[in-house]
Amino acid sequence: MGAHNKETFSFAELDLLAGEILPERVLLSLAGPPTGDGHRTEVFYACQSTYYAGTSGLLGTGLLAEGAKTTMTCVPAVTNSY
Amino acid sequence: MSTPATSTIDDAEPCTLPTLTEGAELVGEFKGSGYREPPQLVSLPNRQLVRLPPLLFQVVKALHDHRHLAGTIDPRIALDAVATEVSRAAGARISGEQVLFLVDRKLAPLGVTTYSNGARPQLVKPDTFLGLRFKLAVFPESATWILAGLFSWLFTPVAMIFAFAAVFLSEVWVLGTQSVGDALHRAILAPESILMVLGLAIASCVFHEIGHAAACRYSGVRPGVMGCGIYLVWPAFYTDITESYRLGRGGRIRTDLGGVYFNGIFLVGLTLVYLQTGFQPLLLVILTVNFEIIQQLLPTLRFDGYYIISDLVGIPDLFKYIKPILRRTLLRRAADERLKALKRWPQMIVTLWVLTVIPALAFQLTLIAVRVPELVVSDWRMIEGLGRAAAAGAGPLQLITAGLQILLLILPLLGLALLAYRLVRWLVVKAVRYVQGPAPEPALPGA
Repeated sequence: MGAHNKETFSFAELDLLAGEILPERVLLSLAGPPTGDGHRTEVFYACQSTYYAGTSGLLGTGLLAEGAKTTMTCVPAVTNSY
Repeated sequence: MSTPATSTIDDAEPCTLPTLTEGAELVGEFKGSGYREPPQLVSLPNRQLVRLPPLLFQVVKALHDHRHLAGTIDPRIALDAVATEVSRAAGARISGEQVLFLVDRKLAPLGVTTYSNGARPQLVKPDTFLGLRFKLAVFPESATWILAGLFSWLFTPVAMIFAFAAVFLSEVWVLGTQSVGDALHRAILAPESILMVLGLAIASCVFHEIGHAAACRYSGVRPGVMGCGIYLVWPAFYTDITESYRLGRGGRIRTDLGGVYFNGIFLVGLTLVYLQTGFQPLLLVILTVNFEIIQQLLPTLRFDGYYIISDLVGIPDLFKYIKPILRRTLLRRAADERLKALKRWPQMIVTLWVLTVIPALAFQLTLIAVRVPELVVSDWRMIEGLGRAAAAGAGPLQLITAGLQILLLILPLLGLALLAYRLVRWLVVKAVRYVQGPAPEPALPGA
């Protein structure tokens, strides 16, 4: 409100004054892609698991024995976009 | 906005001289503003900032300057002294009664001063349109201050020149010479690399936030807390830099751009690792970070691009001007007082922003709303699929990858549920107010 050539303020003029609580400034970043168009791609893997029982070693003594192990091999089998 | 404990405008005498709220601080001019009359800032005890027109600030300052008179002399005499100081500063006479009027009607409801009857004001948070409502602070201010201090040297002119050159060279080399298609193919072949891509993309977001905090510290004010939350329907990280209102235009814009600047530095780091290792999935991360930068600079929602425009024009809250600008432009109504208070160029830029960005924003929000059922079904299907794959004997890395992906799918659904709750609550409040009718406006003294 300018008061350059005024002598007094009226209550009506003062009632027009307004302050404002400023919004908090919170700068953010999205952790996932902002999808809104619903497009997705799914990849389905075909996995094969192989179990190897191992060996008991030389003459069953445990010498040079090999432990049991499992291996998993996965390949992308189906890709689905929608 | 809070309701006054008791209005004493009609009372014969004030009980006490109103004072500045305990813990509040007179900050001074809001620099580089887009208002015709430069507004002044007051910081409240809860670190919120209040923008006041010059006359209201002069009243607050005069009350603060005469606080030593509270309780020592007749409040009427103290008020007259305050009114005299305000009249001198404003160049026009204001009475003690008018000072009380401004205190009880304008200042105390904002939490800036006590009421004329001595009652303390309630401090309320503003209802920020499309703000980040659901959030959790992870790093307190003290931790953010230390973290920001580790990286603020990156804003020195010499460091920035080197950083910009490195970012430019990295981008030209990666995007111009490397094949992202091959990288995508290799990532699909090795599902564990998805975990790495996810992890690095999240690390880039965190580093982005550190960039804002570091820029804030370099510019000379304290950054606030850092944490995470859900913004509309998306999981997000955030940094509270409300104190940057104290800065000039340049400092505020530096703080806004600090995030994407740090994304650029992250890109340089990724490129160097890729040069050393030749690990193709890193190219996917580089592409993801580039998309992050582009998305951040969009001025629609409250991303960095919005705050950059807001600080360029010097208007803290652009969303407040949507209604008056649409009323003037579409309904051909006269410009309201809020628009008349703006300088010419800021008014034009805000009008342009409203007329271009708001349709895009409405489209984006409508798209999200329309896709909600599909999002729920597809997310649930993906969660089931990931769960089945995990139960079928997947290795630990695949389990962790599946778990993270499930989390990133659940969070948008949670965001939707919270939005729906807020919408229902808003509708209920509106309906109750409609039924009760508007509250009567208090009469002006002497009317």
